[in-house]
Amino acid sequence: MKAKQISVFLENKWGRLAEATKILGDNDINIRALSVADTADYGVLRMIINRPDKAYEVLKNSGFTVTETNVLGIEIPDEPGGLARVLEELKKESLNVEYVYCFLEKGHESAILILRVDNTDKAIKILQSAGIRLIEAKELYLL
Amino acid sequence: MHIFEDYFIPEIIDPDTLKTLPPGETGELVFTTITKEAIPVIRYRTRDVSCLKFEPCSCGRTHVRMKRVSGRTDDMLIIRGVNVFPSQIESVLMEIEGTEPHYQMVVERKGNLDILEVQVEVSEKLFSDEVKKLEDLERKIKTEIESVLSVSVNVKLVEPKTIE
Repeated sequence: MKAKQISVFLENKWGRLAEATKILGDNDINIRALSVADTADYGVLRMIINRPDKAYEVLKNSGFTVTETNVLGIEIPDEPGGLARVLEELKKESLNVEYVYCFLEKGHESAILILRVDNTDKAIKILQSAGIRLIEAKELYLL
Repeated sequence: MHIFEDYFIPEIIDPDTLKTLPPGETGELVFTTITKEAIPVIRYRTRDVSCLKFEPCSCGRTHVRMKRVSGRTDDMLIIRGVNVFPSQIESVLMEIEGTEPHYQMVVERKGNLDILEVQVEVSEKLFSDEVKKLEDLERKIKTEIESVLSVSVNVKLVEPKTIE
C-alpha cells in the first residue's frame, strides 16, 4: 500500500530544479507526479517516480540531498467532493495530513491523490474500512 | 590614524615568529604602554593586522600613523560589538544531532548594523521532506547560536557541498 516518494532538497537557486529533473531524464527515469514546497531560501521537491530506487541513487550520486518517504496513493473519483470525502474519513479519526497533491490518471475517470499523514498505517486501516481504494505501489509507479 | 607615541609604543610584529617587522611592513599591531601605572602592558597583542607609516603626515602632526585594520590574526569577528569566534558556532552545530559542521559565516553590513548569516549544509540525516521540520531545525540552530553568542543571527539551510 505504501509507495515510495523521492524528496529532494533544493536551494532556491537558478536552474536547480532543471538540473534535478534533467538527471532523471538522462537516466531514463520518468516522473509520475510531483509537487514542490517552497520557502524563501529553499524548496522541497517531492516526486512519485517509476523507478524510485534508481532515482534515489542517481540524484544522490549527483550531490543532491535525497530522502525516501512513505506516502499513500488513493484513487478518488474525479468529481466534486471526491477529495473532501477522503479527508473527512481521516478527520473523523483525528489523523493529521502533512501534505497532499493530486494528479489525473491518463484515460481514466479517477484522480490520484498522494497523501502523507503522520500515521500511515492507521490511515490505511481507516481508508480501507471506508471502502476507499488505495493503489498498490507498483501500480502507482507504472500509471 | 595617528597614535600618541608619548603614551604608547606601537610596533608591527610577525604573529608567528613574534619578531618586530621593519617599518612599512604589514603584520600584527602590538602596543606597549609608557604611562599606565595600574595596568601596564608590554607588546599587547591586538590581533589586528595593520602597518605603521612613519612618513610626515599632511595634517602636520609628527606622530606615527597606523593604516586601517585589514584583518585579524585569529579568526575572531566583531559583530555589533560582540566578539564572535567561529569555533563557538561549530560547537553549537556539533551538538545538534546529525549536523555535519559544514557551515559558512557571512557578515554583511546593512545600514549601520552588522548582519551575521550562518549557512548550514543540510545532510541527508537532517533532511526531512516536511517543510515544518526543516523550519524547526532552522529555528533550533538559530536559538542555540544566539544563546551562545548573545547576538542575533540568520540561519540559512543550503545544499551539501555548496560551501566552498
